[in-house]
Formats: sequence, C-alpha cells, structure tokens
Amino acid sequence: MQKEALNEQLSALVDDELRREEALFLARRLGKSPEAVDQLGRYFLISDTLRNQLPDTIDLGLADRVSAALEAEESLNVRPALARRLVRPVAGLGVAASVAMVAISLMSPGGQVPEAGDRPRVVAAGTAPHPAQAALVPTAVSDNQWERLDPEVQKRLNVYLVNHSEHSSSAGQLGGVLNYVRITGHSERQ
Amino acid sequence: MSVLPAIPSVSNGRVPTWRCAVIAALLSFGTVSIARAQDTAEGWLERLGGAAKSLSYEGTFVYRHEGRMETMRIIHRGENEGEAERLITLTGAPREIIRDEQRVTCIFSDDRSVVVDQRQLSKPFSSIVPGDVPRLSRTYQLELEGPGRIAGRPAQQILIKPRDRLRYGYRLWADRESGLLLRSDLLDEQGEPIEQLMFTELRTPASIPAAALQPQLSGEGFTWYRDPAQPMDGSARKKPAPRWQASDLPEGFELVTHEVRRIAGSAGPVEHMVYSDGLASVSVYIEKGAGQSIFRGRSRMGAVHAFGRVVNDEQITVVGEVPAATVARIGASLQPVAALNSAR
Repeated sequence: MQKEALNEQLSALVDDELRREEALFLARRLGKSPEAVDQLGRYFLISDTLRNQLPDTIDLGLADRVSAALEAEESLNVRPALARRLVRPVAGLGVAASVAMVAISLMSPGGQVPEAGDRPRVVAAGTAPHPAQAALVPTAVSDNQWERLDPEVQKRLNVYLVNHSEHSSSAGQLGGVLNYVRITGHSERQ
Repeated sequence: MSVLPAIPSVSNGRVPTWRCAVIAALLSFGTVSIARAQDTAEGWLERLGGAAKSLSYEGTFVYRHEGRMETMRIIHRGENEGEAERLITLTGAPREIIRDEQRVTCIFSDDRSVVVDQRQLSKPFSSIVPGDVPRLSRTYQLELEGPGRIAGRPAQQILIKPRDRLRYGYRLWADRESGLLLRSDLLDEQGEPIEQLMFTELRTPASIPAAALQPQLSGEGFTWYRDPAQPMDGSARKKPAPRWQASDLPEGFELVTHEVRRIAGSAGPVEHMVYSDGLASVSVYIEKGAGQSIFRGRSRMGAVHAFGRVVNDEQITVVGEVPAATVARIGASLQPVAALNSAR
C-alpha cells in the first residue's frame, strides 16, 4: 500500500468514515507497522487540535504502550461504533493483535468506556504530568483568534511571527511583506 | 550587459548578408526568450520577485481579512540605494514596521510594545519568489490568466493552485509595466479568497528620501522586546545538529533552516527550524521553560496558523501561512531526534 493511501485510510479512521472491509484491512496493516500506529496517534492529535479538544497531557509513545498492552492482552473497552466495525468481524477469526492496537488507541484514559458522543482521543499519558508542566498554568484556547489569546502568549507569538516573516518567501508577499501586513493589520478589535 | 555581439564595422558601410542572417537569428532568439519569460506564469513570478526587490515604490493598499478592511501605506527603497521599507497603518490602531538591511522594528501603539529583531544575514530581504521556481510544480500548478486592471494600471493575472489541501493558493496581479505586485488574493482549500491585498494607488519614484523611512511613532514609554546582543563573530547563531525532527512532513516540504539563537523576548536559546515547499513556509520554535503562560492547541491570525504543545517543559510552537491542519500535522509529528533514532 502506498504511504499516501495508507495515510488517507488512517485519516478516514480518525474521522469514523472507514468502511468495514477497509477497517479490517487497516487493522491488519497496523499490526505490522509501528510507523502506521504512530501516524494514527498523530492523526488523533491533529483531529483533537482542530476541534479544540486537546487533552492536557499528550504522550505520543503510543506504540510502546500498545506493545505493553498487547502483552497483557486484557479485554478492551472500545468506542461502541468502531468496536462494532472493527472487533465484531474479527472476533470470529480470533482477536488479532492488530485490532487490539486500534482498539487501544480508542480507549479513554483509565479504561473507562466513553460516554456517547465522546470523541476518541490520543491515549492520554497514564502517568502524572511532568512536574514542570504541572507548575505551569495552561492557557486555555477557547477562542482561536490570535488577538484574544493570553497577552503573554500573544506577545511571544508576535515575536515568532516577526522572526518567521524574515524567513518566509511566499509569493504574494510583496517581498516578504505580507506577514508584516498581517501583523500591522490585526490590531486589537476596536 | 548585452548578450548580442557587437556589429562589426565594414569598410563599405554594408553588413554582409550572412552576418545579417546571424544577427537576425540572434535578435529573434532573444526576443522569443524574453517573450517566453513574459508569457509564462514562471516568468512573471520571477519578474515579480525582481521588481519587489530592486524598485523604489510607495503606495496605499487595502488589506481585507475576515470581513474587516484595513488601509495601509508602504514605502520601499530599492536595493540600489540600500533596501529599506516602512509599513504604516492608516486605519485602526497606529502600527508601524520599519525594515532596513540590519534589523526589523515593529511598533505597536495599541499594546504599547516594540519588537526589534535582526534581519536574516543570508537573505537581506525575502524574495517574493522562491529561488527554485520549477520545484513549485511538484506541489502547485502555475497558470497565466487574463489581463486585469488595478489602481489604474494594466495588470497580468497569475494563478498558483496547490495540488493538495495542505497549502494555500494565490491569485496575483502583476503590473505589466513595472512588474510590481498590485494585488494578491490568498485562496483557501476551496479556492475562495481568505485574504486580499490590493493597491489603490502606487508610484514608482526614482528615489525615496531617508526621512520618509523614519517612524512617526517614537516608542517612548513602550515595552521593548529587543533581539539580545549577539557576538559579532556569529557564534550566537549556532548550527548544532537538530534536537527535534518532524517525521511527517507534507509532500514537498523540506528543512531549509535550522539554528539555535536568542530571539527578542526569549529567556534562553530558541531552537528554530524552517520547513518550506518553495512557496509556503512553516517555522518551528522550541523553547525551554515557557514561563507561566504556555500555548497549547491552535490559534490563527488571518491566514497564519499556529499550533502549540508542551513536551517535557519544552514549548513547541509551529507558525506558518498554511492551513491549520498543516501546522498541526507538522507539530504533532515533532519528536526528539534521540527518540526517533532509538526507535529505529
């Protein structure tokens, strides 16, 4: 399978848009490819980011935890819709490790069955947050407009954008100026 | 410098027939080459880039985004006189950006702050056109479209269509006379304009007086975020091996810059990487100890999107003029190189 085609299928899985037979095929593929499992984890992270549903702590070491979980091979709590799609057809064949991998990626933290309507998310780290992180106050991004972020975050992003503008060379930038136009043109809403 | 050979002098005042034929052929070849450059999107992009850098110009333009419209003025001095530029808002909060060959100074009156950063030494002014135009064809389709008229000037339209949904497209209008960009529409994944910049008035004087490039805002009493003093020997721009690596870059994106340096307002060294597909670019900043306010998730300023995550007390921020999914994809795939190597 070409990489792009695989990525499209992983993306469709995250969006819950994969057909049953495709899901089966993908499950087998995941069982053989730690890279694909990593990619799946990233797609869940991207999906959560785009929906502003990022968990407080993210651990992308999905493959390691999957391997550990497979060794334990306990029964898994899976989001019902995808469980029907993935586990039932495979159940008759014996629960393949590959399906378990997919299932684990859909587990909620602590092994709880998610409430109806909950989205799957990247497996949250099972450990306590890093002490340094715990000391920080996360900036909630309830509105993704730049000018409505925490002022300190906004200032840092402005500095980054000024610096980035020096490196970007996009067409239409009037010699690199379009990013500066954005910086000057996005003043506080009056 | 002319590429045509000098016409030889002949004693009888006439040029031999065979020489006429050679000269005619050379003239014809030159004309065709120039015409070809003018008649292709690639040729126009190259002309746009050259004009934006070399010419002196000043003008007023409107910037439309998210249902809002701002009016701004730009004054640009061409490279023959020492390239410099001043950008001023004419509506909304007064803001100014001054760029010369050494530094960029951004003065924001609304939040009473000034940001001063170094220019990139290797690239005094960013080119409007990437150096490798043919490379663009991997990820973009370039088309020449019909004529137009902007600010009373005849214009040539150029369409840049992305081949996937991970980058934006552009519709550009170039001044047929000077080659300057007169209008730029940034197109989203559906081809709809999300940002428009259009000159309403443009002049190309022979020179720009130095006084016209001086800021009106003094910045007095403002908070200044200065680029920390860097040793003159260049050692501040360290080029160690990258500690982080994006393992899932969209098609065509490559690492073009990597450095570790202090930047304005940073408490310590910041690892900076730039990925580019030749047109769009994405910067990754990795900074230890982001203070009491960390950035996690996403944000946007017009067409610029940002994505943040924190890993082991390191704030990772991805910024670029690309769709949200692209910064998120690159940001999510960033991993310590050591971890990637141990996984192999």
